Amino acid sequence: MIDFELTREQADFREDMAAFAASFLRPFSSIADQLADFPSSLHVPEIFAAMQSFLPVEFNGGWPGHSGQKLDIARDPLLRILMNEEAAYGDASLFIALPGPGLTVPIVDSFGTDEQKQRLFSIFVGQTKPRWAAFAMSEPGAGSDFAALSTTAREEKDCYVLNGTKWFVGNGLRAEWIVVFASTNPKLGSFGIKAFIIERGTPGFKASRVLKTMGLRAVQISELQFTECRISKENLLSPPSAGKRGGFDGSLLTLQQFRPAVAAMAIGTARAALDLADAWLFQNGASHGLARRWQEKKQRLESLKTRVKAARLVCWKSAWLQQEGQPNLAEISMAKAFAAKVAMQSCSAAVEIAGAAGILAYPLLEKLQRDAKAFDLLEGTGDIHRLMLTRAVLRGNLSA
Amino acid sequence: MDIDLAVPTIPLTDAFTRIENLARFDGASSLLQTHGFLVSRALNFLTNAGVSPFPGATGAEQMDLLWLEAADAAGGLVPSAREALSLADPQEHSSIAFVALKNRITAIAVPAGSVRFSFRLFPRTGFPQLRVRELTLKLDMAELSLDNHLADGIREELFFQLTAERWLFFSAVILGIAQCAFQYVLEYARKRMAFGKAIVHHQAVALKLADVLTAIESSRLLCQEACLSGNAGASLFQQARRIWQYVNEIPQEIAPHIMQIMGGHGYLQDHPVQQWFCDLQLVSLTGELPAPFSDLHND
Repeated sequence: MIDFELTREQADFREDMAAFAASFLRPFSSIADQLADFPSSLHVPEIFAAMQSFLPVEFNGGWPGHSGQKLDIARDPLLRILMNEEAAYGDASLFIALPGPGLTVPIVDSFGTDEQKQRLFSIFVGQTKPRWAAFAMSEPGAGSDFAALSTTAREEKDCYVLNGTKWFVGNGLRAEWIVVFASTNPKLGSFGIKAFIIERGTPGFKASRVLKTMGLRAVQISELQFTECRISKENLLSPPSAGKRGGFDGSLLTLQQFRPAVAAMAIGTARAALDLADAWLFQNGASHGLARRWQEKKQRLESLKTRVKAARLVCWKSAWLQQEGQPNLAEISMAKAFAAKVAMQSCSAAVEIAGAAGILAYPLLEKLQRDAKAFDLLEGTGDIHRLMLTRAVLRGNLSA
Repeated sequence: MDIDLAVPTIPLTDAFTRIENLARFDGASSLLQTHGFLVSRALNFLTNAGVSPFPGATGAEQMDLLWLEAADAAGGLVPSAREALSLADPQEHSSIAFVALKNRITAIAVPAGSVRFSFRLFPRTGFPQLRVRELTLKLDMAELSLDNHLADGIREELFFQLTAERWLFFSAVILGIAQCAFQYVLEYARKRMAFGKAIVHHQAVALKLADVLTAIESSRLLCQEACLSGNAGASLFQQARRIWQYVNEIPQEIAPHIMQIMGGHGYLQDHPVQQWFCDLQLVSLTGELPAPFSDLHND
């Protein structure tokens, strides 16, 4: 049976993240949404320290633990989930928009050469200004069916030449370097996909625009274009040792690590919405003429909080299985689909419960509802994950 | 699998797992096992408190538990104490009855045959092999009250603990039956062909299966976490009440999906799914307590 008890170290880390989110994310939530950018008022040492902490420990990353040891949040699945939930409770959009290596860590850490790791990770160390990296996988015509991507990488004597368009690239416009997936031979399907590092300023590469989205506006979800973009073979991120599907497997590795994180962000967002609705009810309970309706609203919130907790436990189970070295693909899909659904239910209910006056008092409620939908779409839609879950069950890959 | 009606006290997690596993094979037995566990735990609690209302009672073969709703009669006769549904028979067995009055809960020791009692068998299709009664009892609280035996605080503690465990154990019954039904329809969906492929490969069916499994698994995790807290001595009443409300959505909202996957076959008595559907409705009804119990707060 899964152990639901957090260690002292994990509990301390969770509190640290909650404090970080309360100080640096929630207060800047609305302004970041209005600016659709990472606010310059957050160019502060604490943010630069956080940016560095997302790196693996041996690359000067890690979160300072209370015991004096660095916590390797880049590689610890449960810490990553705790971090994402608490940060999203502050503000998910701003958290994803934080400077740092973002989604690129797993693939660079697993498939990069020593030289590449040193070169790519070092730009986040000891900085006094924000730096971003980005992860470019989706395309206008290839989302969940990633193997159908159309960006090509033509091999020439000393370089690869990229052509194509990438969509839904978080922080794409401001990234110093980007992990880009392209096919060296579309006929080979997933076997032809490889990962490349593209640095800003490379001729033929253009971060063309920020896609206008309903929510997660601070993330600057971008479109990238590659036109005869020539990159050195040193920037290939799929070494022969990675096997025939090195690029594709690298993308899967990243998704497996970050899908539970997306689920955790959905949970944090749901919690935030329910707490705001709760606060609104508490403030208005005494003067509310319709006590019975007030009680019904309280019960609805209580029921949703139980759902949030259920989603959290599914999410924790996926991380626990990973830590135990057991397969967890089914649990990851379950966590991702379920948590996103709970977030949408919770945010919608919070808006309904607070009503127009509540939204005026807590404008964040409206924003949270817009943000919550993204969790059902990011890194595989909810429906795709439900299909993946059933397929995993058919293959017998479920720990229950 | 055997039912043990005189179980020694075992950790809550083990009791939960045993009930769920039993329910996967035999839902009716798992309900009786639930009853057995609750009585054993009540006796254990009373023994530790130095109270022995029914000397010689060692388990569910000699004693029952009742949760009754009644009008407040301030120490006098309770005119109509009623439990919606019960597996117990207060005519044959002595009982500990928790009675929800208007503003409080009290506990009453009811010796076998000492009360005026009427019942009617509850008309139903779930668990036809079980005798489920709708009870009405006339109780003399002044004579039967445990107030004289159990101090304030201890009495409430007994009520809160057993009610929480009751909700968790009934959840285990629901989860066991639902898991069993899920495995059955999954196997059916693998084999049943429609439009040239197994129906499990049609998205509408695959998505339903995923939702069913998610509901079961998330409910199970909530219960397991609560049981672990209970093992460590935490008070579970509020947590268990919320969990019961969540798990109770399985009979109401998830069970219809399970039947739907099998189409008309799910409606036929050739398959057990329609029986599980009825069984789940009955567990949902018997597990539910009268509103005054659910509205109580202990924190």
